[in-house]
Amino acid sequence: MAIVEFEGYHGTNEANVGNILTNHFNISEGPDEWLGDGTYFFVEGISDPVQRAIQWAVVTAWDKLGKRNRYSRYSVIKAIITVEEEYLLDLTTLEGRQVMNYLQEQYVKKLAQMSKELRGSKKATEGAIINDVRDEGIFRLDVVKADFPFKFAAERILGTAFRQPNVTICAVFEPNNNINADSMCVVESGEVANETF
Amino acid sequence: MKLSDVKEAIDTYFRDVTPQEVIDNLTRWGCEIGDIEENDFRSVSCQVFKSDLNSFEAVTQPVAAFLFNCRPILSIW
Repeated sequence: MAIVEFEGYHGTNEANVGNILTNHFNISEGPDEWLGDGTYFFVEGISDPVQRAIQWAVVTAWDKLGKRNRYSRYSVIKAIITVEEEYLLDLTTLEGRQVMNYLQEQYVKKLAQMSKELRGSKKATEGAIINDVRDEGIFRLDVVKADFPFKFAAERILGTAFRQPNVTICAVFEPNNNINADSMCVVESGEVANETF
Repeated sequence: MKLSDVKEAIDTYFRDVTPQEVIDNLTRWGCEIGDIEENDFRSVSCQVFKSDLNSFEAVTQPVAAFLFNCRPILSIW
């Protein structure tokens, strides 16, 4: 079996680093997770993954209601992700997009059969479908990689509405299985306030 | 991963199933089923025990096949 290996970069509050390096990554869960419940990384692709991880840490530091940063220092953790090729859904490739498109078609067809609209937390998103694939055991899926459009601080401030992907990300569903803890290290740290984009 | 690797699994999951399969699977999940009005998905009426509500709830939907295939979506009812 072919093994795929790539570097992932995870931007976070510097205060989280010790816990991550000791206890491994947490899983982000919820209906709005882009590629389902998992740990997210920026990876090589459309743009510089380290810069994107820094931008992510900066934009997630900002408390919109409190109008201030929740944390003052960020870090970027590098991790080596390894996955068997047959359990990697790579949506940056035509083959991967064909898998997701077929899943979406079947999902929509079933919803149409039941004349059902999904709303709120049950809305039909790529993340919801990926969670169903895993939760229902439709087929084994360990890692998903995709290009995504994301609004960082500058895009949010300027109110841009670009739809072209600007980042390549991946979701690892069981980081303990697909990331060797020995590979994890901090590659960047800094002051949130000093980052301008 | 290619579509040819997983298409059969996807088709199996999303396939239309018979009323009996639905009933068998509801039973296997521990659901208690009331009266089946007709042996037809389009008019199946039954009572499903919803553990989250700890109560029986009448289910009359033209979607019984979906019970078998898409259990997570059951909770939207």
